Amino acid sequence: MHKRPISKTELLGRLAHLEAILCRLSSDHAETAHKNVLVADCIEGAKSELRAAVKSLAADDLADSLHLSNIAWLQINFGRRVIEAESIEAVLGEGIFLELTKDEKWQHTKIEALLKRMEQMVAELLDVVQKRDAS
Amino acid sequence: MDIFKQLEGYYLSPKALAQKGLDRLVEAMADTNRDLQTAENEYLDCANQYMARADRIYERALAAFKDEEYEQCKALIEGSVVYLQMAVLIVQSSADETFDAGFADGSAECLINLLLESIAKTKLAVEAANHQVSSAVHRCILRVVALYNQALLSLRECEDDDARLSADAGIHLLNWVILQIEIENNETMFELHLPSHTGNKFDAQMKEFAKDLAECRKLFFQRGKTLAPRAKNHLIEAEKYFDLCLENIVTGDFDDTETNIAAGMTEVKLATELAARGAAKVSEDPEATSEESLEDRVKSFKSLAHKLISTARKSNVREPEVFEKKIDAAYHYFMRACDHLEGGFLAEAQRLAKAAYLDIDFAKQIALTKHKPEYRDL
Repeated sequence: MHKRPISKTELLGRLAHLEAILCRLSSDHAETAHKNVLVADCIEGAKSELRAAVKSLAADDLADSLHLSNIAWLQINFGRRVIEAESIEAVLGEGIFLELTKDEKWQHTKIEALLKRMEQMVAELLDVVQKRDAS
Repeated sequence: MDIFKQLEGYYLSPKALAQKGLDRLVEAMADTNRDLQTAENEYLDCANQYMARADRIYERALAAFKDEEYEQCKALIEGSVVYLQMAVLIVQSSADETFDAGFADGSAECLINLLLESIAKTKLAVEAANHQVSSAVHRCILRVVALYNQALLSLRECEDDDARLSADAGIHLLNWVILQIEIENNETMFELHLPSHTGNKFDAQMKEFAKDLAECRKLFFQRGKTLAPRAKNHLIEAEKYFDLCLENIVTGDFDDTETNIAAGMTEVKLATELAARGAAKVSEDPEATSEESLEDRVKSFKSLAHKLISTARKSNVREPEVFEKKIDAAYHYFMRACDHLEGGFLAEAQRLAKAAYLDIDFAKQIALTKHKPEYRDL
């Protein structure tokens, strides 16, 4: 929902501005060493919403176009925020990123954690055996 | 627009009008093309794509004109003009200028924006401070992102109320995530800004519930292994109620939210009281002194083995059949070790437990290393 109604000319400017911001986001993402899947999804999502928004504008459906431009902006903003957070970590930190998607790396971490827990359970069982043996 | 252009529709035939529109479009396309050829900026590729789309629509308008479908031709010309205008405006735009989203206060868009910015802020804070994030908390973070996606999807479908509720649940879950990270790292992060007008009248109580839950968790961390199992059970129950409340918020079921917040807070109180009794009192609790039963150990181990196998299936572990065989063997050795322990055959129980350990280690090498797996000594 928008604060106030918006004219066709304003909407054209808004969509063009969003395209420019999206271009910058895409090129910044292409330059990052750590290719975040979520950012790539945001870029793809925003591209598709913007395409649909311009199509609605061409069909003179201003309300739908504005609605779609809002969704595009949300995706662009999310992608931008994530890329900003990661660029700070990449430059000043140790390059250890908090992943926001369930990717293969995450499954790998999960497997590692589950195997570790199983080892712990066996170690605890061996402890019980030793305690009983001692008593 | 001059008066003659406005009156064209009255004195020109549909065919002449369409022809005039096409002529003007060709002229505008030539101008735009010239502008784009001289322009030099990072958005040129994007502008050229719009130009190409305008050209394609022009071709369709021309075809409609030839088929004497003048109304359709006119509509296509107008559509093409929008794409041309976009091409011109894009090269004139700048990503450096601030974008005013203009979302109305309390709108679904506003709430989703708050959620996404809070997620990014949390990510930044965790990475900057090198905070450790346990797998349980990471799972919560992924749920927050899933709630964001759900909210966006609802918004796309014009279901603003649903979008607002999903975003609201996401914000409450993120608040709980932040509190947990603070406890696990023993450091404060930042106070999440919670919205005041989300349509969920239980926002304040949910925040209070999360705070109490976090205090209780903190106490559990401090007490460590001296806790009574009963206390732990109450905390687990409280966390289940918290999850239920989030589900209630997503579905807009506020009556159940109220009931579940009350029940959850009672569980937190019980867990806190039992935990606060401390180590001395815990020893009086008969449940506290008893070891975890062997039956429970076998059950937990079995559940871990199942989870592991299903995760491995999703993540392309090499030699999946061997991996599953080893995990299965480890489970059977573990189960038999417990049986022998119960029967008092300690030496055999120890041998079987060690065999389970060796199989887990073998599976670990398959999943986590690139070298050929082998049985290694304990």
